Amino acid sequence: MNPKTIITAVLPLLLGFCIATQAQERVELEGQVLEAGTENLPLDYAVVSVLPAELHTVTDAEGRFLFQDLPGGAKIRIQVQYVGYKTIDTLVTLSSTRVNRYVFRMETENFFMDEVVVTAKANEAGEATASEINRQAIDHLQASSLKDIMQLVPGAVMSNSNLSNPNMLSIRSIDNDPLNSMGTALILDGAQQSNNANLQMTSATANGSTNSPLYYQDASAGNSAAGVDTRTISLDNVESVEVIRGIPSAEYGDLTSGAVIVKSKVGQTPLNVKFSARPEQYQGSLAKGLRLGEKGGTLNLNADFLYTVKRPIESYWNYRRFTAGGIWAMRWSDGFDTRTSLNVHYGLDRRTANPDNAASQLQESGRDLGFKFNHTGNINVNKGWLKSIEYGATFNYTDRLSEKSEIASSASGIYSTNMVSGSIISNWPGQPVYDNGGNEITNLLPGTEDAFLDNLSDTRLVKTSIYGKEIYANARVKLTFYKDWNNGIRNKIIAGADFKSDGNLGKGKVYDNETAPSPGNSFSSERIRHYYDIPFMNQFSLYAEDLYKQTFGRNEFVLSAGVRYDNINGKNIVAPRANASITLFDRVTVRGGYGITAKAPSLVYLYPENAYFDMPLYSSGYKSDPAEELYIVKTNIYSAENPDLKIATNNKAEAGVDIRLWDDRRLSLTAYLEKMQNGYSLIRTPNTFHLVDLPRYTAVKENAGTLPELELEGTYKAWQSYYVPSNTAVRNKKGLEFELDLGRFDAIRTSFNLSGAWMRESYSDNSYSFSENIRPGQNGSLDRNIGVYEPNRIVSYRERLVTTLRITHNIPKIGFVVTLTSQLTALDKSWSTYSTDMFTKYISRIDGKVYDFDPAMADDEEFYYLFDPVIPENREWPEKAIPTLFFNLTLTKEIGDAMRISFFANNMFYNRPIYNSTKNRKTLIELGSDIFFGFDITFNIR
Amino acid sequence: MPAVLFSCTKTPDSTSTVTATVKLEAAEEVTIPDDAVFTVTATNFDTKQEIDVQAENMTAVFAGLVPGRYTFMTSFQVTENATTTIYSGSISNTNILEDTELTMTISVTESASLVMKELYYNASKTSAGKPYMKEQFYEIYNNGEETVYVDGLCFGNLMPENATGKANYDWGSQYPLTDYVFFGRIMQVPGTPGVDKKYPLNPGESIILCQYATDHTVPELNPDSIDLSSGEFEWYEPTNTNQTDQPAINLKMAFPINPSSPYKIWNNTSNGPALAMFFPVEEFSIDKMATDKNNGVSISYPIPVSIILDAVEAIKDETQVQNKRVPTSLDAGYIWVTDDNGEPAIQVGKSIVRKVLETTEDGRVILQDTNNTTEDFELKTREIRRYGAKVPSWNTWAN
Repeated sequence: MNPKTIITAVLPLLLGFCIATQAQERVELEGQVLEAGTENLPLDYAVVSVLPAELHTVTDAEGRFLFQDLPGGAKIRIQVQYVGYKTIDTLVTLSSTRVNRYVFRMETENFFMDEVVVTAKANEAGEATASEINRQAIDHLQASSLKDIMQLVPGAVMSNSNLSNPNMLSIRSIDNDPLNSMGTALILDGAQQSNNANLQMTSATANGSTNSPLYYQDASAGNSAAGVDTRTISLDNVESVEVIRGIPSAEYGDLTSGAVIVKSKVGQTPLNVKFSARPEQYQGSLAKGLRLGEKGGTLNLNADFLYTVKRPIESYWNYRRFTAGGIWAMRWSDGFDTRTSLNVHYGLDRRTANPDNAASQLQESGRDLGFKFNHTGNINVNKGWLKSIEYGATFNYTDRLSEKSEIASSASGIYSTNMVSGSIISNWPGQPVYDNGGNEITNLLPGTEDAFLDNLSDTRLVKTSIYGKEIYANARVKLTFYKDWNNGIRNKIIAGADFKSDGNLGKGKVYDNETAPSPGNSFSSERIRHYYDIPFMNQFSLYAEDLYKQTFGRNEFVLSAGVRYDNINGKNIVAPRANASITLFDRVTVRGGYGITAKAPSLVYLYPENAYFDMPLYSSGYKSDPAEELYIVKTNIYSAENPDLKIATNNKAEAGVDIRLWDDRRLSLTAYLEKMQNGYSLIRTPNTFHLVDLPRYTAVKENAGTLPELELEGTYKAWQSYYVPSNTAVRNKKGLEFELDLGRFDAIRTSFNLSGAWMRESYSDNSYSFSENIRPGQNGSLDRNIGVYEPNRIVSYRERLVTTLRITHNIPKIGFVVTLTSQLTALDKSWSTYSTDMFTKYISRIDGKVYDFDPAMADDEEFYYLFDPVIPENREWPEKAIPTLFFNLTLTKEIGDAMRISFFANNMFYNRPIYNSTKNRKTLIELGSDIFFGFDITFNIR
Repeated sequence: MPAVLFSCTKTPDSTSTVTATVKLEAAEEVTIPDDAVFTVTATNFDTKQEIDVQAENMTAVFAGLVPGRYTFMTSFQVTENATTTIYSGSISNTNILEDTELTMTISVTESASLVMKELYYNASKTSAGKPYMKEQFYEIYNNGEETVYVDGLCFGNLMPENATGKANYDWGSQYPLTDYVFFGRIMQVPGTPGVDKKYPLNPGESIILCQYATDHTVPELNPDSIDLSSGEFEWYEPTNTNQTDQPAINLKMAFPINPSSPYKIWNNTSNGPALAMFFPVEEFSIDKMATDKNNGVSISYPIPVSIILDAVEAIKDETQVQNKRVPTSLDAGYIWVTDDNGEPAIQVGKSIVRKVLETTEDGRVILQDTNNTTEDFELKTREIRRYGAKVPSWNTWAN
């Protein structure tokens, strides 16, 4: 849909709302929040909300609250939330004639309750499709990181917790593609987190990948260009997690896949002490919510330590983290409350030298040390349509150091620090070198005087350090307007502004001359890069959204329509979003939505490193007399910046139906379609292939104690190519998610929840690909043409159908809950299609220019070698796994008031099916993972 | 050790030995001379015990064998007019659990005057304990009476690179495994065989094919290594800045013909490659490659056994005997490198070296070539041009 049409659709709603007003009697609502039981203990700092008007207040020391200026006679929804207590959600009708006073009694949330919710809950219709996961579910699942929680979302596969690798979030993804995780927003207490300034990587320009130099930072995860690593976020202070899979509200930006919204615990709580053990993982945490006197607010403190070993046989390879934080919640008046939090985190991924491998002395470490500051405030205005103002300010700082050192063999090679493109220098600084005809070979341009050049030793220490100091600041304000027209029509409008700034002030990628990395392929080489030279990226955003609700009889129509504008370092994007639903007879809801989501390019893509090439024109090789050593090297430097880089967008559409079967039992179906045609990529284009002259010299006479006499042997043509950021990644997805929540059957004390999804993803790259096959014969890697294949030549697909049945049995009297999760993967299939093996163009070895390729030239002496000699018969054959069924067991038991134990066993029957690969004959593939178990023990000390 | 436990329960008492009768049979179109004397060697897989039995009426009877897995080998050679004709056969790893009759096919090869003299694939370690592969070399010697021109000579390793049981290639029925060897990589001396005469090799002279023909003993490389700067040939890829082009003549890579990326370093596995050499009789062509029918991806270049000059089967240890890549007609045996304690070892600086058969009156060494690596080769610390092998006249850079 054209963004403009959406704007014109929204505007009349906004205007209509402004013009019409209606006289109405105004009333007050007062009340008190008490702890359930006989003692009538008041609860202060309970959050009381009037919905859908979005009025919020917190209770005072007596547990009292007050809302003024509410419409008399209206039916409103009241929500009372308090950490550790079961949320109260109820409808009341405001009387115009008498005092509206209510007392709410809150029940402690624990496993003694009749109804425990240990699965993800679907949210209300009409807004973004989302799953809500509460504290009980997190406890029962015994999650170690936010990533573990994501397996409760429909269609996700069960997985074992693994904190020895970065834990990135992804939504509606089978392969956890880095682009998906990069586009998954993580929002902690209103503050969106950012990985945009993460530059812990080697040269993306030279390699075409955003891999970290550290092996265990997992190349496939591509941490530096993916989402936030959630290992630094302790779960112990998390109250609830909401996963928005569908079309998110216009309030949320800098995302393509969806959002994960985390709410922290706020309020007085007992001291919570927890120990967890998993195979090769230990964790301990403390959490406590304090009341700071009569008027000091509440303070929630938490600290956590975790240690995990990568593999039992490699204890020198491990990860540890430490987090500590506090949230201070303060109620300044009936209409104003704030929350201020500070969290520090320390993470260390480390591989110390293997004591049994003295030869390599491989050491790697990735260290994060940082803090997150966040302040949010809520002002209840309740004047006219304006109900409340929320504001927030966030400042995050992360100091990272990634280091890898190793005694490397075959690490010899030409290394240069020359930063002048086109210059030719030797290992004798400032000294011109001539051939035997008296012609100068060197080209000592200004700036090359101090350049270092050497042929590094073969076996030596190679060490790269990457220092990053990531700064992220965010300021935001959101206004909520609400109007009830008293004719069944209600409007809620939100509007806001958001400013984000990301930068990196680190020393960057550095190394010493002696420990520099050895040169790459085809003359490509590395240089030091200081990150403090890279500009900051700034994002400014505005958004507005109208939630329109109309009730007629027992039916309700809901439309939420919004638009978001982002300006990212001068690049603009307008993203309209809409969700609509109609509920008939309070039973059947039909819903649909469409929206565009946009993700800012991170610093990797905005400011790529230059491409460096060092091409030796002559190398004497090592000599016993260093005075005889001579290396002459030509340096070429190319900028990889792409001024035409656009903001990547994802087009999301979905439709669904929710059927309330009886009571709270419901069935939901959601079909979705997502298309991203301009995802971020690192690609080579015909313009990033440079044909350069390579004059090669040979020694005609060796001279004892001095440099040899050189003669031009010949001039060849060499290719230099590199990668540039671009918008060519294509990701298309479709799927069908289903959830059947049968709730609890009291007679058997058992609840049933069936969920799952069918998903199909395709990946391709809308850019040219190249054949660089070597021309047979001498110097074939120099004098050859480059074949150019058409864009989107290879399309890869993945398809999966996963169904998960969670059966939860609970005995409230003894505080016992057991869940059996059975997951059937009925279909798991991947395959690729190839469009053509014929070239569309070629880049000439004569002049470096691009020409059309006529298929008639295929057998020509100049081109035949560019065609791959073997086209594997099986390249389009699908790999189809056999259906699998795995069982996980989790159980939780309360022991008295003060203690709780939980246990889980994943893949409890140790099922590891093996099947014969359908793509590679004779290959057997083992599915599933090893049995994995653990337990948590929690003490609540009052 | 489960194997021990298993044998404990199954060990027969001393009276229950078995007899293996090995019948020797000439392959098609092979005529075995009447005066041929075949001594058949049986090797027990577990104990490594060897038993020699001389065949009578082309039949060798091994009585009193302890039941187990055995390998049988034999070879016999006749030398006439400087050409040696070798008759050989083998049966690998057969279970002899009861009285058994086996048939061994005897095939024939003619030994050429060019032989592999010393093959140094084992490589070494630096003083820091890192593998040092760059000093790999292969010495080829003129063992005959006539000058041979090595222009266009091809040398390479056979598939699979490692003699592991997993690589079950199926190159197609047009290539019987007894008639072809399957190269994974072929390096070629520049020139066309029979046409170009730039590189003559006289009797008693050798050429050295190096991964990197430089003086490896410089401090920047590996002081514990050897000086290969006198090597005649080396592999040099012009886009590889890790290596410097040396005076040695650059080899050509004949196969793979058009690899998708530059082949930077010419490495052979330290675990034991199967190496073979030949003079090509036609141009290398993409159409003549073979593709593995199993995985559809692996490629090899089949060369008929009839044109192979010399082939050597080197393996990692005794467990790989059954995975031999070289047909028996070219090499009835095999070899692996061991350390000083006799344990199979990689990167210990040892070559496999052809044994000396005799020394002529003018001091020239004649090497033993019975097409049986087990018999013909021994292990020695790496050294170039041992036994006084001479440098060819055209090598001006060797001092």
